[in-house]
Amino acid sequence: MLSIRWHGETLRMHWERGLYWPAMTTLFIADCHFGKAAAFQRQGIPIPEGSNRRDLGRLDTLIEAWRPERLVVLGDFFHAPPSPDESLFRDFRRWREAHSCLDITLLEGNHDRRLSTLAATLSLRWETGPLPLPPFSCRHEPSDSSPVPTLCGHLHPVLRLRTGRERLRVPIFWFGNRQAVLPAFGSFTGGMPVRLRGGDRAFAVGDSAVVPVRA
Amino acid sequence: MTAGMASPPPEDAGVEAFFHRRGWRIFDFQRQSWNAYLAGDSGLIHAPTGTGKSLAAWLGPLQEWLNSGETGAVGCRVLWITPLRALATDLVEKLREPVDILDLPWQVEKRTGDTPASQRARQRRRLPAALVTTPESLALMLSYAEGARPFSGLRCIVVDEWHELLGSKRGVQLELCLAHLRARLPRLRVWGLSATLGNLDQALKALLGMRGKGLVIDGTLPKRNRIEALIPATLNRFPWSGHLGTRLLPEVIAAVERHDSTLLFTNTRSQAERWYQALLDSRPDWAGTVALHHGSLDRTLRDGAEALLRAGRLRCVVATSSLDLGVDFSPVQQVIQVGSPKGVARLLQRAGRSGHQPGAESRVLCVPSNAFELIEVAAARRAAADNRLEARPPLRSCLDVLVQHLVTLASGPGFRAGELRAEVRSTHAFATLGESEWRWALDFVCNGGSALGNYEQYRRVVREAGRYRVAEARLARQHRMSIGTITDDPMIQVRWLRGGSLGSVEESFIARLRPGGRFRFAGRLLELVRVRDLTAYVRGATSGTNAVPRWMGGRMPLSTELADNVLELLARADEGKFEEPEMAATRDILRLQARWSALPGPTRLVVEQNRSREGTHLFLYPFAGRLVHEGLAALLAYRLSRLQPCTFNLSVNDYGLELLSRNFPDIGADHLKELLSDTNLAEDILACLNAAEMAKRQFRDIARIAGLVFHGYPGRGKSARQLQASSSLIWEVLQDYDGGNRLLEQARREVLESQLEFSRLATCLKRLAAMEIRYTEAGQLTPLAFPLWAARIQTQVSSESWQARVERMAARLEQAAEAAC
Repeated sequence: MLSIRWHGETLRMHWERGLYWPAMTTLFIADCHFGKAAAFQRQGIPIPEGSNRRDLGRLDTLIEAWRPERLVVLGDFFHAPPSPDESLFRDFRRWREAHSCLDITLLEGNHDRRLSTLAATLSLRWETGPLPLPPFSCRHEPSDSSPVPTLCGHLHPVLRLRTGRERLRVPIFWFGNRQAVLPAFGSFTGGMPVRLRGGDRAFAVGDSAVVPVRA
Repeated sequence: MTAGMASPPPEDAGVEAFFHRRGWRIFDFQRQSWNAYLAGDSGLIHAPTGTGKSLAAWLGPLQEWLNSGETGAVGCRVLWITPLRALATDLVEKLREPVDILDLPWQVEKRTGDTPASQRARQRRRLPAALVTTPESLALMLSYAEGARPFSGLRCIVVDEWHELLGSKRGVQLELCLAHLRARLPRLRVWGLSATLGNLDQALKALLGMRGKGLVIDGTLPKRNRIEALIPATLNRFPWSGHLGTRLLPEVIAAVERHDSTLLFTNTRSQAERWYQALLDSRPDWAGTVALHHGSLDRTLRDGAEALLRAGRLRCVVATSSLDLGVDFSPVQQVIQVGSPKGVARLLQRAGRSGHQPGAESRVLCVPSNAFELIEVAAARRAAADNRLEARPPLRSCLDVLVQHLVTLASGPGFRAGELRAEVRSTHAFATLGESEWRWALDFVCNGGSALGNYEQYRRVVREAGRYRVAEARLARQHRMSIGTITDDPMIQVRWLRGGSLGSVEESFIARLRPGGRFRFAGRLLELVRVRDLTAYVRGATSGTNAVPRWMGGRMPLSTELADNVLELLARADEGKFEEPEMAATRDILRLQARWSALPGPTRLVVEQNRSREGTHLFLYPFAGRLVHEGLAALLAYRLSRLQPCTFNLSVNDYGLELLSRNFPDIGADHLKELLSDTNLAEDILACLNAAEMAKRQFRDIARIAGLVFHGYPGRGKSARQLQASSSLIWEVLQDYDGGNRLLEQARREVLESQLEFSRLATCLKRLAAMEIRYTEAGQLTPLAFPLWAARIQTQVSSESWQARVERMAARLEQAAEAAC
């Protein structure tokens, strides 16, 4: 597991796109977009569901790897409000029961506004504003004006790599000077190519490893 | 040629009076066409543009109405389908002319995406007697609640420029809509207008459906075609792509000067930009009388150029295939083709854009960009004389278009499965549709797909009382937004900072530029200011680089017909016969090629091997077009690397291919035959090309056509964002959770067929197996090898050092050639 020192703290990165803060036994993920395929289906677009279960399984992997006491989701946990007849709902309830001791905080993202009641029924903490976890602040969308180092999501950052003839787009953990952006956790999510600035550090997420990359 | 004799003016009233009043003569093929129409027949009329095909198809229905003795308002009797909505206005004018002169109470109107909503609403209540529309607008009309009912009085459908739709998914969509109307109107006659093609019978079958019968009418006038080449005073023995083209600029300017109006065609949009600039740089006094026309320019810019051309106010228009279609540009006196003609039919179609004055001949002047393209000109002339034209094979079994059609019909009055299946199977495109494919398509629109549990929230088409209809009106509205099969790569709009659009370029080009970067587009030097929301804002620049955007998809391979004729000419050259002026001009080069190696021919494959500091080079010249050569090069590299691990650099052009490796396995002529065998071809091709990656890219169009990607309503960008997913992401999700989805399979098949020209590759290998292999250890690069070498070097180094390096090498080879002579 690759580690990074950032603003005096040690943070670990997992290829299942989770960031772990051992000092606080806290696991961070961002942009799960659960229920995205169902949202498409309700609009008459036949995208198969299935990534929800896999993604819950990946979340299990992260939890087993680090046994965190707390999970903080940096926004966009749900893609759209799930309907109560959705199997996602049942799957998620079952998953929550299996991890009943885990303290889960959801930060509100741009996709999952108006879900506070739903969060309550699943015994999840719901935070609408930035969440301070000194020395960090946690939020969904990056903010250049934040006075403290910020952990965030929203961007789904990917890096375009070119090696000879091959081209590759890889999701990255992106550590800037004051801002760290997590890769999107959900399998059914796209990415936004980003340009690294001087001093930035980036870590590419592969199938079974996280590796540092240069722009 | 069967038709073309002028007839003596008969004293007949009716539509022929129109010709007499205009003082025009009637051609036999025109009379033959409307007589066949009156007898109840359908058919296909083929001829180059500007010979009176439209009138041949149009006057039959008018005469029929005159014969019927009907009076009063005329209901919708004729549907006129055009591939380009930009042509609709011109067509309406053209069709109105005889109506006005004969004083008939026929309304002629158009209906396209550009038609105002108020007029569309009026047309929904009552259609005009003749409606000019596009395939997409026709499908859209069938998606409304009244379905095919407004067309119940229809007598005739004319499909204009059928050759342009044939071979595309738009053609498949139209085939389905035609079948739908035909099933309701048993006496409906369908007429196609087409350029001359190598597969007219098949084109007729696709138009009329499997059960339809009709005539093929030859409207080729005995107008003479002249295909000529601009032969430079001296020819380089070592030609490379793009070099000669601009060197011939003075000669091209002289040719433009000799005529009042010239159409100058290039093969790619970038070339068009370059030629436009080169003309104006040499002749600044021509500013305002030279125009640029290509598919990425903004519609208003193109319209402006067309209007000026038609008014006879332009000396020259530099154009791409964007001007292949369209109504007559009568003032055009001369057509110039820059670069390889690529195909015979296309060259003839382009030649036909000139010489519309009575008694004039169609003349095309070809400007080769290298010595071998000169031979292509002679080959094109031979093929045209023998009438050996390219076929344009219609597409089959496009499930993406079928599912779109199912939802289209379900958005209207709905359909019964059994009836629709019969209708769909009556088309050429789906004649071989299997039961399981049909069931899958129906399942796809109703349940999402075979992996049922993964589509629990999905509802699109439902079955009620035996009829399939969309589940909600909202879904029908949404579907109507995305009807159509033309799909584009993601394009970036180019707009002035102060407003006004210039056109569009590919995203990847803009992505390489930074604000302040300069490029040439729409004939202007521009500076990029910023990029926002798929729009690049630019302002004019006065100096800077010469970067010209390169658009994808502009690289059409040399056609088999043309390539075969080139090989025959080379074989004659081998016998010492240089009859055509083009051949005489290339005699030195061909002799050198023969001395240093050998000349390829219809029964001879030339293979050259040589060694350099870079490694061992193997050159093959099958003359099968660049797509086939790409497949062949990858196949050879793959099979060679199984003999002995090694890596290759590959380079291809329309004539041949090069493999380069530092540790090339030792192979002789015999072994080469084994390497070129067609055993396990499909498996090997899939293994050696990145077929999975290519299929994923191909899936982009399929996803859009089948409704897996939704672009949203205009002006509601934000709310649609929830439904945005890239097609490559959808591809991965389908692979993981619905592997049985047949659209995935279709993407793989389309990659093989259209991107890799798999059948042509297989045919090529069969032919190679029967050929004599002439294997030479050449001491240096031969004239055929040189352009391949130069093209490969280009991908490795920057353009300045490339130019210098290629010039150095050419000079060295010239010296060697001088010594050899």
